[in-house]
Amino acid sequence: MLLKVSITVIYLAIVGYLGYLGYKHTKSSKDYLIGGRQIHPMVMALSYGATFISTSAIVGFGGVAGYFGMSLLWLTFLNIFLGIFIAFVFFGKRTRKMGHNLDAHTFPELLGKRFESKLIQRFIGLVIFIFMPVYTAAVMIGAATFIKDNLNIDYNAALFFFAAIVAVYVFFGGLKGVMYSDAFQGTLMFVGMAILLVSVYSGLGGVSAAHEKLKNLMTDPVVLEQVKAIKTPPGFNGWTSMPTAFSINWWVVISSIVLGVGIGVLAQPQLSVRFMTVKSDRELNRAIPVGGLFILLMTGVAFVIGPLSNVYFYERFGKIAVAQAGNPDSVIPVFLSNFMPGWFVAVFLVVIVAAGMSTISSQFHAIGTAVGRDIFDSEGKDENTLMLRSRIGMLIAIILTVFLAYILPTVWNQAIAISTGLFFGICAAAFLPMYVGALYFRNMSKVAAVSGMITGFSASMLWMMFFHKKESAVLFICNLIFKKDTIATGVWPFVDPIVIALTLSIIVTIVVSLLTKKDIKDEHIEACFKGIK
Amino acid sequence: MSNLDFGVFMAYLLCILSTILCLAYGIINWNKGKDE
Repeated sequence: MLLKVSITVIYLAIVGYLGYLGYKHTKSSKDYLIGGRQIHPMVMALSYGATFISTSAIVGFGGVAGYFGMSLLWLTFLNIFLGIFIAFVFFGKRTRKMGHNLDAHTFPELLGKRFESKLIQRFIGLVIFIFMPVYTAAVMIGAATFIKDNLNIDYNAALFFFAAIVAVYVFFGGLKGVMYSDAFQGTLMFVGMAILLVSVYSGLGGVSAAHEKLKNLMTDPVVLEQVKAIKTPPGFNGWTSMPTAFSINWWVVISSIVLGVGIGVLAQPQLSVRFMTVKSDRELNRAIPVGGLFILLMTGVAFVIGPLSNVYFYERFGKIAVAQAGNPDSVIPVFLSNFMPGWFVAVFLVVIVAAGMSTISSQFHAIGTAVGRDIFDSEGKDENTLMLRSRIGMLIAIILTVFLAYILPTVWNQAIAISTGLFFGICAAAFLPMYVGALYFRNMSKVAAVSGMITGFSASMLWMMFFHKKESAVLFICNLIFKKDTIATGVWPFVDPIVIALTLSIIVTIVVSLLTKKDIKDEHIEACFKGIK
Repeated sequence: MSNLDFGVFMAYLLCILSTILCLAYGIINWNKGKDE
């Protein structure tokens, strides 16, 4: 216990110092909002990765992999290929240049200025302000619960200290404070996961032997009974196999987990703003290798460790992971405390806290800037007013999130489970077609951008409220009107909103763009694409 | 690795290949793209 407390205190002291460093280096609203466009590529890459990967990605999704198996590695592939390579090469470079051309400081401001539409800027700002706090609260609850279990302190105290520390360095340090501490936290996560990967494989006799043992579990009748008992959806073929195509298991893994999170990452406001923090494309080129390796070591390791934990649990307790741990969320914590040395559990506690803090700090920053710069008119306001407004916005975001983190577990616990997918899904469906159009299609009209955005948002909300059982059962609106959790039948209740809403949003954006005349002046388009080849 | 079924093996392989792609792209373009 003393070791855990000591390591945590040292970690917090370093984070505090980096937040102070950010404060010292913040002189203008440009510094506060986009790091003065002078952030080092290594810091940018680690910050992007650490923001991307939260507590839920390691603990939550790692446990889910213990339930569904290694088929989740398709999400890791999308995270690296789409979330890093495509995002940096095809989105990042144009976002950076266009953001610079338009003097945009936030994701909503970039798209609003590109299409000369205050509606777009305010709408995205409002989506961030309304939906992101629930997602932030969910990450905070996950981290606070982990701290409570490991340091034996009261949940409310854990939540308060966690929020207070993040609040101080985001409020004063701005994006520089956030990114400096992100880079430190990302490095910790990188080292922790690398040690975990080596330990788990070597504990099972190497890569091939580990996979062999995991595959052989499915030949044991006791294991097959337990798989049934934990209500694994139909179509499960073992932890080293893909689920049966188009079965319920397949739809959950492929549409909700792989596509829902894998594509959703491309239109995340708190990630896209990172592209505007570097001074040239060279920095983005240098950030790509670090980003790719980082994601491989985060989700790649979590999605291998989760399934392999079944072998450890079965050999010692005669039960598979979820049966022993009680639920997917507890698989990784229970696995660590049972099979890893005490010093590593202490280090990993800090890794989990770092994963939560680095994500939450960026979310606070995104919500704050949405209030300070996007929802209310920022034209003609001086530097100090804009900075003060962003800080007030951030304070509102922090208070709102902490309030939700206190209240959600007692009144609406299920909201936590759906919050990440909900936010990612809405962002992808509402913003992605417009974002691609903004960066690549000079002739796309403002009407098309707005139509696609409204269609994506509406379709996403409707599918979540009435069709996709995971959300509709929690939102309860379908139950109030139709007296049942979902009005869909067959496999449709398991088809993720992103599949439906993003498809509709893309179609509407293209059709409206073809049917409407260009409504943005050529000079403005030239200014947007200045220097973009 | 051969103990993984084809679909999972492909995912495992693509994770490693896409990481190599990121590394190669960064190294090849290390000094390109600088903006007086």
